[in-house]
Amino acid sequence: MSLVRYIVRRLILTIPMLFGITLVLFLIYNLVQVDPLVMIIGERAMDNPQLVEAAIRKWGLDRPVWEQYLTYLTNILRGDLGTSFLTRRPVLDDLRTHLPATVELAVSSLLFAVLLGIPLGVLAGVYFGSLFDRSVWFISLLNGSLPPFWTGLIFLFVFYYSLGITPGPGRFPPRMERPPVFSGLLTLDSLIAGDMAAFGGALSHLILPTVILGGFTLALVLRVTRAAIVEEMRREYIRTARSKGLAERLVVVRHALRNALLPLVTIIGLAFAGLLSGAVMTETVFDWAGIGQYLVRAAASLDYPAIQGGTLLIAVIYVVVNLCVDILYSVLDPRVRHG
Amino acid sequence: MRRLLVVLLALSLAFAFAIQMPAQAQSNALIVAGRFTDVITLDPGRAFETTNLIVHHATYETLLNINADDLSKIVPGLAESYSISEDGLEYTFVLNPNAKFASGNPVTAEDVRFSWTRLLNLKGNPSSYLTDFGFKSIEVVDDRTVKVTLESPQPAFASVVTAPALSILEKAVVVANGGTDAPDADQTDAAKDWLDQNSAGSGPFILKRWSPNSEIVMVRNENYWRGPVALEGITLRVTNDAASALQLVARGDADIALGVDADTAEQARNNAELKLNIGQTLNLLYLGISPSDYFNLPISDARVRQAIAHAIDYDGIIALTGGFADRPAAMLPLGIAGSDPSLRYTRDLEKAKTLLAEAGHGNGFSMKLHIGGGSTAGVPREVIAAKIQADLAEVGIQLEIDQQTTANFLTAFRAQELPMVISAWTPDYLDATMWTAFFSKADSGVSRRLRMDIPKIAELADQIAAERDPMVRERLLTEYVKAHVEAAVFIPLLQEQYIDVLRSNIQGYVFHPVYLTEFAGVSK
Repeated sequence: MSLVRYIVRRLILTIPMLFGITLVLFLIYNLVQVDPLVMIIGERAMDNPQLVEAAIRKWGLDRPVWEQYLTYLTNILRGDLGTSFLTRRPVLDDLRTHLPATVELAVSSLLFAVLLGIPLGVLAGVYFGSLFDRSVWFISLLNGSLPPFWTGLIFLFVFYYSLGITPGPGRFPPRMERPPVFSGLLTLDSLIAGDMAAFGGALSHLILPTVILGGFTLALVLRVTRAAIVEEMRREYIRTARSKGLAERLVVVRHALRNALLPLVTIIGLAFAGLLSGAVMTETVFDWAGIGQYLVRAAASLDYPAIQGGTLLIAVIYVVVNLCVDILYSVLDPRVRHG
Repeated sequence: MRRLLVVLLALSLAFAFAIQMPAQAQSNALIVAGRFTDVITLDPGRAFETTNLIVHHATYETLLNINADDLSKIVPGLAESYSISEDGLEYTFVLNPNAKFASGNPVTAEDVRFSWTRLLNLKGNPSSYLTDFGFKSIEVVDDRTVKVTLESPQPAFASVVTAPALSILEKAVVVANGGTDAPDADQTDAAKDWLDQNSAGSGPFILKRWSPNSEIVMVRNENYWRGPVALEGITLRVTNDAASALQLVARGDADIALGVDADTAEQARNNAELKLNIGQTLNLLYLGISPSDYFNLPISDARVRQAIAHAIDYDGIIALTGGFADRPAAMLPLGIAGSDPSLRYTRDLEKAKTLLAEAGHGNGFSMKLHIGGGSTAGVPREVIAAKIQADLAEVGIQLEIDQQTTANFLTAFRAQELPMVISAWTPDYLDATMWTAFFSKADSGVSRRLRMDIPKIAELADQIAAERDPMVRERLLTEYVKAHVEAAVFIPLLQEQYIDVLRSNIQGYVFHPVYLTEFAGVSK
């Protein structure tokens, strides 16, 4: 099967999956049996019959459930995710507003995890059982098991409040002029505006949340790399490479690491999708106005257009990332395509 | 391999230290840390939340004002004077000839007509400020004079005019950005998106940007007609919890932390660079007990409700807030004329037991207490409910606490299904009718939800709404409070205080019970 046909087949398979997700979301909402009216028009206006009736008509709450679902589906196909009860704005606009913050933190956390996790994992694997290996293992275990909201609060208290060596919560220095909005990624926008002070400001505000959020992924990447390297280093081709006199560095980097990377692609792909779907706790602790915070607020307010839109976005992110991982896999290991 | 290890160590050290904190340009702008996540829109004709009041009070002006130092006095705003016709139906406002918008254009009678007509025709929640008060028409008499006609006399109308929803917008600017005051404005007005990011007012500040869940940026109005203010601008910075707001203020990244809890306030007390500002709000937390036979419960007997009121340990509840609260006698907060704290219930277990015995419930009874989510003065509903449960158990009343999500709680409350609740009430404008109109009638307001049908209280509420003589009105209000204390349907538990943490160099900061803050006089 050619690569193109493989990709097309995978894309077609995602469509029923997304349908299924919208249906499940809709059914869950209707099972919960909540009255969204209070959220739509507020407590005081509930006593005003005209406002209540106008709201019911405006939001189509008087229509049968299946009709609401059909309307919802047709609107999605037209690129309309509906209007949030809570913000009264199109859900798509809301997601567009909140996604850049999440993307910026996710990319920076992934870079942190991969750039630090793979080399550390390789070293730990090569020096398997050494003191270095054991201390890296312990730190990664700690990192992977401490809840990020707790470490986030502690880090803020120590590094920001007490020592003052990192910036505090938020995405940008509070007294600094923000760069003009272009991509919504503050680091990128600062660079586009050629404002290095703003770039430094945005970058410095990424440090703590990146260490907290990326630390989680780092631990994962490190453990997988280490295990893969340990396994690969025992294989016969490594013995062959060594016996032909190849430098140890090349044996590790060119042979062992390349083969160890394969399982890492899946792990990193899923971790990235996870980071993109919003790290609720980290975003809350660091006042990071991203998708995670948006969805928590939507859920707390029974704002189902926003919940559905956000869940759909996360589903799409997972589908796309999975697709990329599979494509990458089939490029790295052609056997997969025939499987 | 060892070289790789060394390089890696060097890299991680570089990551930790190379990115220095950037030097920050110190401006004279005020950074305010707070929750601020309730903003839905910043269009004065559409917004009905809390944070928008702060923004609108800073960027727009109303015809009349009520200042924090005397809540019973209405003072001039954009209008230098106003008069009420003999029959109480016509209000005539004369604009201050110096009043100018941020654009430099004068504030005219046509701008007033446009702003209020647009508010009305947008038919959003804030339009109730006009419709609830029998607003009939508004006409331009001349460039500086507008006349409003009401359908019935409404002495509260002058207070309503101070509500930020009735702010005056510059017609030319709003129309240029898609706004209209046509009868179908709810369908055709397209100015919301522009007004979410800009302002068209005459206030001391101009709205520059709103980034949802992140920040709201305002800059000084250099054309302010009363003369430019000291601050270069105000940034409302969204901070999810009081602890990080306090950190921001302590490190100087913010100047004020708005609305912190008692624990945070205690921490701030120990920091010489910070000071506290305690403001008395008009927000009430109450225990509501239905007097209706509908529920077939002992509480339909007034003596049982009075016994409950005598069994509650009010001081203990206030202690839960760290002492940052007070309480009035009835649903008319302290600070409003007629609210008499000497009429308050106090804890008296003997009296409570006697009343219960007289009512034939000397051995007590059991029932449910319904609550939603949220907290008042930093104390969550379930904590208050547990305290009441413990207090009433001492006189033999066994409560089972039923906590629901706020939405479900309010739906059931509104459907008149809950015999006993703990809930809260926050005013939108400063007139006694903000309470008497909602806690008195059998067929409307919160009293309807509890199936309260007490003619004496309803009649007093009607008289208060129609009375124009302030002295007579105050006497009626005192009678109203007495009637409520006797009925014991709504028992106020807390009147919340608002705690702000300020850096010690901040001067001229004033808390306002409706707008929350007055920024015009602040300097640093």
